[in-house]
Amino acid sequence: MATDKWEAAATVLSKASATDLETVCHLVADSLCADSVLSPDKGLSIWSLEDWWTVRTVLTEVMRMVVGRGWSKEKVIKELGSLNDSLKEIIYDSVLVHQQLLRHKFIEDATAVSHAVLADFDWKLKLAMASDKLASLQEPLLQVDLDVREVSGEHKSVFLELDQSELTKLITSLEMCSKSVQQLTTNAT
Amino acid sequence: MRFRFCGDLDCPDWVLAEINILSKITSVKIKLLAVQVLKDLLGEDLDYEKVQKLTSDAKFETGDIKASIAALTFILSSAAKYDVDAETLSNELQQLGLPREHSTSVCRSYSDGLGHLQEHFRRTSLRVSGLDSVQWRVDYVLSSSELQNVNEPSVQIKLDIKQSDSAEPEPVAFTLTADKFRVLLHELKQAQSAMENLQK
Repeated sequence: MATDKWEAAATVLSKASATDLETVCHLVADSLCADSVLSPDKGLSIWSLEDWWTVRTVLTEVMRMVVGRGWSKEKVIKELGSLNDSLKEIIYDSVLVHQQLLRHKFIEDATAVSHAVLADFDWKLKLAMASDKLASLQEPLLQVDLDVREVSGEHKSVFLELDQSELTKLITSLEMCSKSVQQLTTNAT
Repeated sequence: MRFRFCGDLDCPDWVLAEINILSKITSVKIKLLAVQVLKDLLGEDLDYEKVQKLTSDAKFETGDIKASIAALTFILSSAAKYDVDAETLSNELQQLGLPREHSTSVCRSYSDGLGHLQEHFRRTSLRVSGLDSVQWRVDYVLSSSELQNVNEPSVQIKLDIKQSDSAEPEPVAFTLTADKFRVLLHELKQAQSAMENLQK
């Protein structure tokens, strides 16, 4: 059960001062949101490497519970066991600061479950001036680069060149889609 | 000498040589031959039997038939490429030594086919890739292992992308959150309005 693990971490967490713990909480939340690896340098002045891993794991779990499972402050305080109450509050409060971003991150994760996701996209509008077939072409073309992250974690780049009619077709189709997305978002709120 | 139908360059020597052969058939036949060549340029099949019949009067050998088709192909496609009007083309062909009636005949077929030809060239100009079809689906995500109450729509999009004219369209499918979808659509619309401004 998580509580036992958290209880064991209480002594480790107590080694840090209130300000240090707050900084570390924010760092862990940031790295979780950005999907980046947090360098252990930040905690090594306070903890050993092994302790640092425990701290990171516990803080990540707290964030998952508060944001993901909707744990209340009382529940967190109870589950964190014998840790000093002021430190518990610091942990809880710093999670709340990042609540929006963390929720956003979890939604993205949920979207990515067993699907390729669109990680990024860029576009460029060009005017084709001439070709081997026609000396004066004057045709606008839109190039779209889609960065698709596969389920395996690999990134695949997709290049797409659209002329005006194709772009209109794409937008018309996506407009319909947008309507039902909007309906769902307004119904939910 | 420079010719507009050659893109303000010299006329290639081989075309010059074939003008002589083209002069051998009658002006009526050359018009019909030009119609056949236009068909070929537009991607339809050339009717070789008909071509043979058209050129039989002039006692053309296979080599001559090939040469006359090649010359007409060059003249018509190059003129359409540089957007030369029929009258100019007729004048320039006469300067190259093609009889007046022949030039007018060729140009009559040319002015009939010019619009189609340029449209065809525009469509078949090099394209890196193109969009074949779009499919989408909106899902409403209720819950996940990470987040108990998600309650957010997510969008799945599948694009069929043709990489070149002949190849089968390649499907690309991906999911995106509602937020990202809004950004994508907004940016595409921006691109579209930029494109429309360009055409004014």
